[in-house]
Amino acid sequence: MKSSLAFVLCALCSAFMVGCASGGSKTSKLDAKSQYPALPDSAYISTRGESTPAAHQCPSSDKSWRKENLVNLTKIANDCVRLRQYERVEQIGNSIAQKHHLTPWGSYYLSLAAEGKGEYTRALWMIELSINKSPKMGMLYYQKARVLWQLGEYSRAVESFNYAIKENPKFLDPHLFLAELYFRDQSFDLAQKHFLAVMTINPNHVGAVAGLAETKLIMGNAAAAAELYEQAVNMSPRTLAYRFKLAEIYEISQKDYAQALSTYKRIKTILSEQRYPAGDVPVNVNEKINRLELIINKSKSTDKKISDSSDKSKKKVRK
Amino acid sequence: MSFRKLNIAIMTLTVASLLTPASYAKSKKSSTHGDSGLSSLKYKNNDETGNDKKALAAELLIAAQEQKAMDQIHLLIRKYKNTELEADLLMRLAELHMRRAKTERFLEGHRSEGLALGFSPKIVKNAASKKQVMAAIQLFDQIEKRFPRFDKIDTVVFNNAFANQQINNHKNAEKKFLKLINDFPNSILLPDAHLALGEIQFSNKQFKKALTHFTAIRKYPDSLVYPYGIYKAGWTHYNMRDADAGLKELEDVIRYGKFVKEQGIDARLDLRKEALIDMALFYEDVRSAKDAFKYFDSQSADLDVSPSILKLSSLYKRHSRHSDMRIVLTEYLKRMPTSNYIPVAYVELMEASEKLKKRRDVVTLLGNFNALCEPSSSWSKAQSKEPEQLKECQKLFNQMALGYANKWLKLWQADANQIELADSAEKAFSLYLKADATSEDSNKARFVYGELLFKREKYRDASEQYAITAKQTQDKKIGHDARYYAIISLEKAVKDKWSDKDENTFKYLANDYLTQTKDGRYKLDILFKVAFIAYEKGRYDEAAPTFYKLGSDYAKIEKGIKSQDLYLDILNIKKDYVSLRDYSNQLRKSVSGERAETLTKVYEESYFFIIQNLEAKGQYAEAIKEYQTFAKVNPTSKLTQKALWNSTQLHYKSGDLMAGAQSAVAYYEKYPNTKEGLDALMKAAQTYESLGQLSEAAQVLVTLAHVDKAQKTKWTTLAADFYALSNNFKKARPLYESVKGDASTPSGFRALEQLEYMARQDNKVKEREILLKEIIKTGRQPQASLASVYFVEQAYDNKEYEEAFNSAKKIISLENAGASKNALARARLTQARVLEREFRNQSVKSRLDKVQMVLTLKTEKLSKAQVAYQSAAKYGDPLVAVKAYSALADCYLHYNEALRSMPIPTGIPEEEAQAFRSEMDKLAIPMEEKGIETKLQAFSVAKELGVHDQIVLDLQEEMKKLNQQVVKEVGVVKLQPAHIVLPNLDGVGS
Repeated sequence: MKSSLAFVLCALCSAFMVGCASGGSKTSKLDAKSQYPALPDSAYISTRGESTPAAHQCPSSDKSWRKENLVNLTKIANDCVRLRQYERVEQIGNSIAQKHHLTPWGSYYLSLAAEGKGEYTRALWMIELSINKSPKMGMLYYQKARVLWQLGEYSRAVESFNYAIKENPKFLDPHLFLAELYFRDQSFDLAQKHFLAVMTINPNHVGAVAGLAETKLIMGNAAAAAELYEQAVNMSPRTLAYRFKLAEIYEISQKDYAQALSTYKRIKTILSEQRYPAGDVPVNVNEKINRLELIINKSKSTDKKISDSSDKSKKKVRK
Repeated sequence: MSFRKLNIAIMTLTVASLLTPASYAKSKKSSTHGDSGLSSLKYKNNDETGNDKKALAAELLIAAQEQKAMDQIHLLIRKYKNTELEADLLMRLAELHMRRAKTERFLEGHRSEGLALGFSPKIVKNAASKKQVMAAIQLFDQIEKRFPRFDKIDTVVFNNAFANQQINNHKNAEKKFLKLINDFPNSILLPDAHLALGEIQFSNKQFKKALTHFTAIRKYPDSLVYPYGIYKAGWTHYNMRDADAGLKELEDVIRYGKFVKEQGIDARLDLRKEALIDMALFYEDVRSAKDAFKYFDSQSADLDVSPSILKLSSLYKRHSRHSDMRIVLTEYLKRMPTSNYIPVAYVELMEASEKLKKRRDVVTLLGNFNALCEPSSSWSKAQSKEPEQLKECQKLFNQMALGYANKWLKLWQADANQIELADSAEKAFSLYLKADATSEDSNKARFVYGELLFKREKYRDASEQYAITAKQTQDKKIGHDARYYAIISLEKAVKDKWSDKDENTFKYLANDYLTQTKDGRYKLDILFKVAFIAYEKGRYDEAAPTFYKLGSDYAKIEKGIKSQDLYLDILNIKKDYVSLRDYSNQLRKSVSGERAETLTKVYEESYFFIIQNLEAKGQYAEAIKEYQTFAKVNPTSKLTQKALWNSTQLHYKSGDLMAGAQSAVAYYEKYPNTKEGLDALMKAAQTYESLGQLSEAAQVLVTLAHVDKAQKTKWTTLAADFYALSNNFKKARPLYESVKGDASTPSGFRALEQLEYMARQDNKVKEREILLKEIIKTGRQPQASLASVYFVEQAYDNKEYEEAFNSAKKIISLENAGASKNALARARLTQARVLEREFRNQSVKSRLDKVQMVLTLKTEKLSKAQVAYQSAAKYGDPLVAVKAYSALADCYLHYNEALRSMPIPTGIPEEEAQAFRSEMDKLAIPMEEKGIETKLQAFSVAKELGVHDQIVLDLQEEMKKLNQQVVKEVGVVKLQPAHIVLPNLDGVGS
């Protein structure tokens, strides 16, 4: 009963006028009454693709860290989050909330801990509390969006992702999530917009380049897609999926068999250098190479131009 | 014995008698005598003790000689018995007896009745002397009787009369004197006898008779008693109330005296001095004062007129004739400026003036008198030969000045309105002290003078006089008091406006008192005052040590207590609250009652202020600690509550909100019935909430609900919400239960909803359903419709299709009554599913003649389901809409499949079967297209309405199966979960 949850939250909001910042006009209203200093948006660390730290990074004792300063506590709490030690995260969050109550970090970690324990309602309440303390901090809206998503409040989650971006336009993670979400939901214009935003923030984000390439391809711009995939291949030469997509685009969409052949040959080389499970290789590369060589040989005599073009493409790929 | 030998014996007796100071009627022979070894018995000046011893020695010597003489005479009498010599020897023996009686001799004048000079012998009262006199009388009588023709018989009669006179036998005496006058007219003792008889009559107040005898003496100008007779005649006139005649007699006495002096006759006959003195008595009666000096001056001639004038003055004084006294003395002072009697005259004149209450004149005279006694005065210079006079003058002046000063002071004290008295007393003291500046008497006088000045509010002068007294006196008590009064007077003079000069003087006096009077009674007062002046002039560092010491040394008496208070005040002024706190704390432990209360108040307030200062300086941690210590040490203080409150507020202020909240709760527990207690509790709840400490917040809110009855429901609900939020349903549930009572109220209904939520979370199906039914029962929308739809869907799941359909119908009927769009959509969706089921269950298997009817039925049911799904989708609930379109698409596809797989109806010839199948395919194609189209619509709606659910993925799969290219193969791009982001360490603050 989602409406029931919302009712709880709203009721709590009215109790002492804390928490419940959900953006828009409510945010500005709370700003006016807020007892907390307006903090600038914080730099953040995304856990996407991060390796898990060593277990000892999150202290087993519940006392050793208590006298640490905020920076050290944050470091410890971050490691505990990465290690999914949510009990410890909760303890540290409580400690920060009590000692550094003007910052949003105590309730932020409490939100992460509650989320980690599956207590989404509390996680939401806690992040609302953080937002109340720092209503201009994009990453707090991002966390709220994550909790709402897990509560099945998709519309409100998307709304909150957008608030996160509004407060911090250079915030990569909500852009990336929305890009993937819109791609999944076939809203390619929006997907393209957010992939581009990610690439603007981080030009080396290969996922965004590939995502945009895929979006372009679906939207019928094979040339742009090929170019983006070339870029993705260059950024991540060992990722065969991008090479396969590139080869497919050359072969099927652009009929550039020479380029396709060249790409498959390169794939073959990589495959020979590395061991890939058979299931991970979607195409019989040797067959593809044979078929393309046959096609190319047939047309060599008649269309020298195509051959020249094919050589050019090879050089480009090798480069 | 020969006559020659007798003469030798008589000579011996005569020598003995010569040792006596005088002789009476005796033979007129005289003899010179040498040292006779008695020079050692001569008196020496200023040797009183020695002189006494010498007198005693001389007396013993005389007594021994007399006894020897008498023994000799007795031997001679026996030898010359009945001879002519016997009478002479008897007379000599009688004379020795008289000598041994130690009686006076003739013509020793003395004042009788205090006035006239008398010449009668004094009455012998001593028994031994009387015995000797009587022995002499017996001898005289024997001579008279046995030797009537004795050639010295007149002397014997005279001496006999004289001896009788001495033993108070006046009759015999008078008889003998008269016998002498009558029987011996040629006796040289006649004038003496007249004088004796005159004296006897005078003493018997027979003045006329007396005058006769005194006047008779004028016939014997060569007699030794001649001036005495005139003198006594003068007195007799005076007593006969004829002072003028008396004056004339005395004037004769004076003239005779001048004559005697001029002639070098026996000085004893010069009675001028006595006469001049007595003339004053007579003069006072009959003459005026203004002529007195002139008169007496002329009478005195070469003699000093002063005694007469002073005598006259004393008479005026006796008769209260003070004005006359002033006249005569004033004239005297004027005319006799260098007389040694001048000091006395001043005394008398001042007294007369004083009697007339002319005190200004007295003061003036005192001034003149003082000047007179000055060594530089002309009078003093005139007394150069008699330096004692100067001392006497000064002494007399001192006595008078001091006497008047004291007298006037006393009178003024009796009547303070007599300002002149006070003024005069002041001047008298001043003059006296000028003259006698350093004696012990003057010290005492100065002390009294100081008192007078003090009483007259001339405090500064009083202080000076007291100070001088203190400096000079040897008297410890006066010294002590003078020192103290000097201080007090200065205080009075200053009237609390202390110039530096006055303060220095005060310090000097105080130091003098403290050093000169060890353990002085007023030591405390003086030390206190010195410090107090410094205190009042703002020199607190100077005053503080004294106040502290006095407060310690005299803690039980008023000044000591006052010192304590002032020390406290200084500490307060200096803002030395730590010392103020400690000192007041120290003091209060040794006192009780009101004092203890006051000190406790000071202690507590100073202690409190110390803490407030810490607070003001931003030393919050220290301030908090001290507030708590204060509360612990002073549990009954009125400030304890405030201390705890401030401590709580400081926790908040210092940013230690957790401690603040804990402190606030403790505050409430200590002061549960105060407004602040309630505020504290509320603040604690807010704080816990702001810190995300939901369980603690809930716990406080539960307490708050008990306290704040007016908002009990609000706080209970909030507490329950926080417990629920913390997944502590066990604690949340009874709280919600407690406010659920009346579900018709907003709070009750909300509690019901929360209970239902928790039951759902705990998967307590039965409990939840009961609660849902309660929600439905309230009829409160949209919650009631949402609760109802649960049962609709449950009925459908339980295959109670009719129940589900009808229940859904009821919900749908509430569309205009506020039912939830979600509930409406889901209810309609359920109805659609029921209808779909009926549609699917409609078989298309039939005989040939029933084919049309069967398909019609199937189509109708499709139509109903279609309408239901479409209306479900139109409620605007995205998920329901997507589900509705998807399901509707499935209906179309199902119909498509049903048509394509429809069995060949019985009755159709085999050759027409192909045609029938072909017709069914024709019917199926649009249905299949409709199905695919509707599936796409479902997917489109999902995108359009933002449904990011598994259903979207399911739709993609289904469309893939339908060979629809709406969904591309997108292996490269997958929706990843939104990953956690963590704060960068650089950006979290410090």
